[in-house]
Amino acid sequence: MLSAPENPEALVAATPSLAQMLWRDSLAVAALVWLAVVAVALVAGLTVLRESSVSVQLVARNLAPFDFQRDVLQWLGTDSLGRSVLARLCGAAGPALAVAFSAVGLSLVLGTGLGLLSGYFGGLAGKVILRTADMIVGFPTLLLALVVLYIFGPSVSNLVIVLAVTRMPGYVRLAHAEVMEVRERLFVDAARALGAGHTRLILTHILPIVAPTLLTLASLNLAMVMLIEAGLSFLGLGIQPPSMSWGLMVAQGRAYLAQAWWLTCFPGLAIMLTTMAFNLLASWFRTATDPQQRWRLQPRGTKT
Amino acid sequence: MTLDPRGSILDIRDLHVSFRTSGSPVTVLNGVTFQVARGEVLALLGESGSGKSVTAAATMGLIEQPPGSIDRGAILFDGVNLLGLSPADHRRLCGERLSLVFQDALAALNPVYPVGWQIAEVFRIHGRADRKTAALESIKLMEAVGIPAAAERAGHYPHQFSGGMCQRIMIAMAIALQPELIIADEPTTALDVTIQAQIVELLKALRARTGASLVLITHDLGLVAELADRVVVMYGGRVVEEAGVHDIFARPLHPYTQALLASQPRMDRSNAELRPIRGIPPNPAAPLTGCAFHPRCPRAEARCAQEAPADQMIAPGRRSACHFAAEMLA
Repeated sequence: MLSAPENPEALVAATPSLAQMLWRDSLAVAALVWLAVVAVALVAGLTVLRESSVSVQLVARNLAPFDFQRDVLQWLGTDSLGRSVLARLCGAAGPALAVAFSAVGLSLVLGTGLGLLSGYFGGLAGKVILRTADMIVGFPTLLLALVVLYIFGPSVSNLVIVLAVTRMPGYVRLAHAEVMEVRERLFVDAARALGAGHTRLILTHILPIVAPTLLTLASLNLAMVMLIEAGLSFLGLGIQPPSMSWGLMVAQGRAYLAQAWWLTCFPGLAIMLTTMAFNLLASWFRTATDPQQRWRLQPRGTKT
Repeated sequence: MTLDPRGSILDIRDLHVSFRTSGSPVTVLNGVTFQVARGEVLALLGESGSGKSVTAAATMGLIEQPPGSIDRGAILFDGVNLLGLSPADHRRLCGERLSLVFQDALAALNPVYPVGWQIAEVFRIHGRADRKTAALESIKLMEAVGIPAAAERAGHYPHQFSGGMCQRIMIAMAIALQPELIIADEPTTALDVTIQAQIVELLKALRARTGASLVLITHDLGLVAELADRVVVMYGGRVVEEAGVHDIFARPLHPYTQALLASQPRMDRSNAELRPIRGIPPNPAAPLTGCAFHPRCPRAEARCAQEAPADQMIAPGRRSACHFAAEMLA
């Protein structure tokens, strides 16, 4: 085997591991901690708090939060039917995140795929893809969602599809524009001169350059989608009671905004912190995966 | 003129390439014809815009159509017309039997992958080795092109290498599958002089070892003298002269080649003034009638502006596209 080592993968470890780089970014660590809290809440909401989140106690209606004399479940207050806000927040985490993630994931995959194709091949198909995206952008998101959900009936899967379709044009346009630029770069020609075919060029040589930008857009869209879902749930076309979601909780609490601020504030805070955590993690991830930016996350004095 | 394709690995015949622009199509190659024999180093010499790189791009299937268009001609590689192959069949040859070294090596490497991975990519594209073997092979190749601590450096990214090292990595990729023909498009232009010399030495050594044919695209006469066996001079999308390397320097037959040589500084003639070629290179969007060089040619006569000179074989292995070639030889 000459002087070449047995295990070439081991040598590529000149760059620090993801965990090491995560530790260097305190904001990303905070974001991860919050997401861990959300994950625990999500599991609890599906298991131990399942009963408490729906148990009505009319004697304990609209109790204010932060009265630590009372039961733990009432620490964040109770709603107009005396249900624990804490338990409902946990119970609502699952549906809220499931809808947001599947909608963003679906639009990311479909939009990126279409954008890569239209940007790389261009031609008539590329024009059709772009103009279709323009048409979707030109139509108000909420109006489209209202029409579709009114016709097909409000269900979680319809909600996800509507949200994914209305968010998709952003990815199509962004991927298209980025690919148009990247495919003219010399290393794409170089790979082609080595005999790489279209599939390999798009997936192996172009997509990794484009992906960080798209993932950043996706993390921003998570927030957007959660808020649109909240709006649709408020209008009665999103998640249907007795199912719960953070957006629906905000909507239901609106009637009591003057008397019981905690009904809207806590779910609103949950939406904000969670989307912010995703944005921070996305920004860290972009730095960590970019070979030219990665040094920012390396311990001082070990720059290669 | 008659050709014997058996001896040549690459045989380009009457190649016409044009590009569609907002106006009329611009013809950049206007009947390029030359051959590359097995094992030889052919220098493709000419100034910027003479069509050297487009010839290479056409051979490697890198001309996008549209906007480009290959209007006429043939590129025979080992007897097979590359222009008649399907894109997939053409790709199978590229990287495996013919390869290209780019001028700007840093830009030709993908910034998001370690260089070892990129060299190994050649093996993966052609299904020649599994991941682990490919990784080992890429380290061996890096050693072969003279990169110190290759095993460690394989994990580094292109921006962590100097220009000369990037060029070595490009060369490693080009020789990975032991191709029969390597086209080097100005491999030393972007490098400083000492690094240029190292790359020239490397190319020489690799050529001696692999016996591959090399097409050296350059406007550097020093590089031509150092490496080439034969020289093809291009001007305005045409071949204007072809000769052995000794003849080109000793007795250039085309006024353009003569002017090009006269414009170079020479160590052995200390006080000689440099003589630039007056005028500007031809604009391919506004083609001239007659000989493309006539507005700049010291020998031009009325006839040169009227009729394009034929590409004539004037001696064994020598051709020139000038009306006065025969007189100049006499």
